[in-house]
Amino acid sequence: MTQNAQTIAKLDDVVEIKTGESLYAKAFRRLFKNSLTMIMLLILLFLVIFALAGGFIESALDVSYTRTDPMNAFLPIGSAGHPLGTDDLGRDVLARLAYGGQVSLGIAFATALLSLTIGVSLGIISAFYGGWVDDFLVWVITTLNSIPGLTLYVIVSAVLSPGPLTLILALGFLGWTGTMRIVRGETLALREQEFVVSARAVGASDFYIMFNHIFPNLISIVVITLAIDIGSLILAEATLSFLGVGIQPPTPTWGNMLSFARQYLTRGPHLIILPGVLITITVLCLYVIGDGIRDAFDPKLSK
Amino acid sequence: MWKYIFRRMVQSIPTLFGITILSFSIITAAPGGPTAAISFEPGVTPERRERLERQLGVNDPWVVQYTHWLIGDDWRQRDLDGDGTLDAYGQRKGILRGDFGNSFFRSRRPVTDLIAEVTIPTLELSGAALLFGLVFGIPVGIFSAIYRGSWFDESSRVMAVIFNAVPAFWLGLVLILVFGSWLEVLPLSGRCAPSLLEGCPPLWGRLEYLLLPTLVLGTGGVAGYSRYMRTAMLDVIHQDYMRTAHAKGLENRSVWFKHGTRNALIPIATFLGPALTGLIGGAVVTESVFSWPGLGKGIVGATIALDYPFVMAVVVISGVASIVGYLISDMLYALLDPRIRF
Repeated sequence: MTQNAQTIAKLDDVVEIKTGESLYAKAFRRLFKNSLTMIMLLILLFLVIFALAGGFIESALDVSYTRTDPMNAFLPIGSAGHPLGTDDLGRDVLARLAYGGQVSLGIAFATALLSLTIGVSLGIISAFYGGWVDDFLVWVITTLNSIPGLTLYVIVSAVLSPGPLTLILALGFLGWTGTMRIVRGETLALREQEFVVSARAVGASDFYIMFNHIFPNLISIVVITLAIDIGSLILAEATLSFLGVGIQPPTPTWGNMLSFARQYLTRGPHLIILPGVLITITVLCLYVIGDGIRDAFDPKLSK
Repeated sequence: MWKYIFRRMVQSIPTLFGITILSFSIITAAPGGPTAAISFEPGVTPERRERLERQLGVNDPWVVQYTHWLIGDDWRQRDLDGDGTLDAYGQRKGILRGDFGNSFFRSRRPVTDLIAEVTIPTLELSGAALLFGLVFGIPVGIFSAIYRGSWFDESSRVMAVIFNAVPAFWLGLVLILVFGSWLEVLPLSGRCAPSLLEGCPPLWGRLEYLLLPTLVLGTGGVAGYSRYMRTAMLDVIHQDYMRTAHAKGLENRSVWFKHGTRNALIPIATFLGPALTGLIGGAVVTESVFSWPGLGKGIVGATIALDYPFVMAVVVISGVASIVGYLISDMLYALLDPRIRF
């Protein structure tokens, strides 16, 4: 029985080669087989839909994420008209969680895209050209890395007293060093490969080689980094907002909702538990998805 | 070895230089300039602010300001009383000679004194967290590697992923909620019971205050070290000398701990440098949640109050601390592993 299964598995491998399935098709097939990653992807999708449905939740329940109602403050979970209760000012927690999710997820996604763009382009350029460009960029990342990340984030965002846009710019321009380091390492290896050398031999321009020959080989790294970066950035944004140097009220984010809830430990424990659970689940999903993609692209690594 | 240390120290000069530039430019780029905080003080007229600006020299070109901050201004004539004319030599010694200037607040005391005060509580907390991380993380890593693929290995992996995703400040809040508010067995926050006396009693008299912050700051360490130790142990487990030890009939216990663990611990030494940086960063959150009067809480307070001399000093000092941390962990690596020669 097992022998049969093994034979079939081997045959599968042979078929795989014969049909000339591309790296991406293979990776996607492996990804769909990985049930944990798929479950996490579904949960994440559900969370995103929940966040985007903020307006719909408001009209369906006849609540508003900004409308205060001091008479009905600190309603517990399961109250009539407020499924997840109300906060210290009587605002509906469910609606605030949805809108806070929009802000938190939006900021994390935009920041990850920015830092990824910077990290990938500088990583490729640094490794491709080498010389003083490389020396300079390595000096920059060594400097940035020697200051504890959170300390730097706190200082920069407090000094800039940010709205969402400045926070995205600040985190994006400080957070690219990790990506850059990985991309630089990969590019150093790719640069010496035959297809790059032959492209150069037929007179391709530097930009053409970087964009059409090196970048496509980095896509799996980019996708993995994107997933993990969004997770870390949700944590970073929440932490900064919690410390009072991130997004300022009245704009809700999961982080600053917690910052205000800490004053009402006994009166509204649900105000502390709910946003934290959402942050944890979201970040967990993104980390597991990142790992899942890594396994799908490079099954050798996971074994 | 000494040659290597010397070379590493020379190599870190550009990084140190970069840190000072970074620290200086964050503050120079700040909206309102370095005197923004002072101008909010009651009783500061525009004339007084202008005079102060001349005294601090914030209208000089930034190269001049940076040089003064770096090496001091006691070698040239300065406008000390702020009347617009040069009248005496400056008094600042510059950060290279250990003078980080005076705080804008807190009776304008020297920043170095203030930082020294808050460093002790932070060392206390991060030391406890490091210990907690190592004491729990390393055994978990060892047993995960020995019983690879078992339920213990799997569940420690899952726990490590989950604890990476939990926001530290939220973990702190939940612990305060459960142990401080509901069960009322541990204090809500602070470093010791409030009293009129300056400072706190010795550590063993107030361990209950240290418990929750250590747990929060150290959890990431447990997750990290256990994964790192597992990998290091797995590398060692398949070595020839391990098989030899088994073959000559040694007990499993002595093979794992005497032959295995001691070798697997060597790479952990390189982890201590980054761990130091991580702990200083993590202390920012943990100390804020638990009102722990340390460096991390100090940074947040000073940044929000725009106390720039303090902020600049913290950036430089924590940068230097992490460079030294990396250097020490690399040296430790070389000392522990006789196969490594520089």
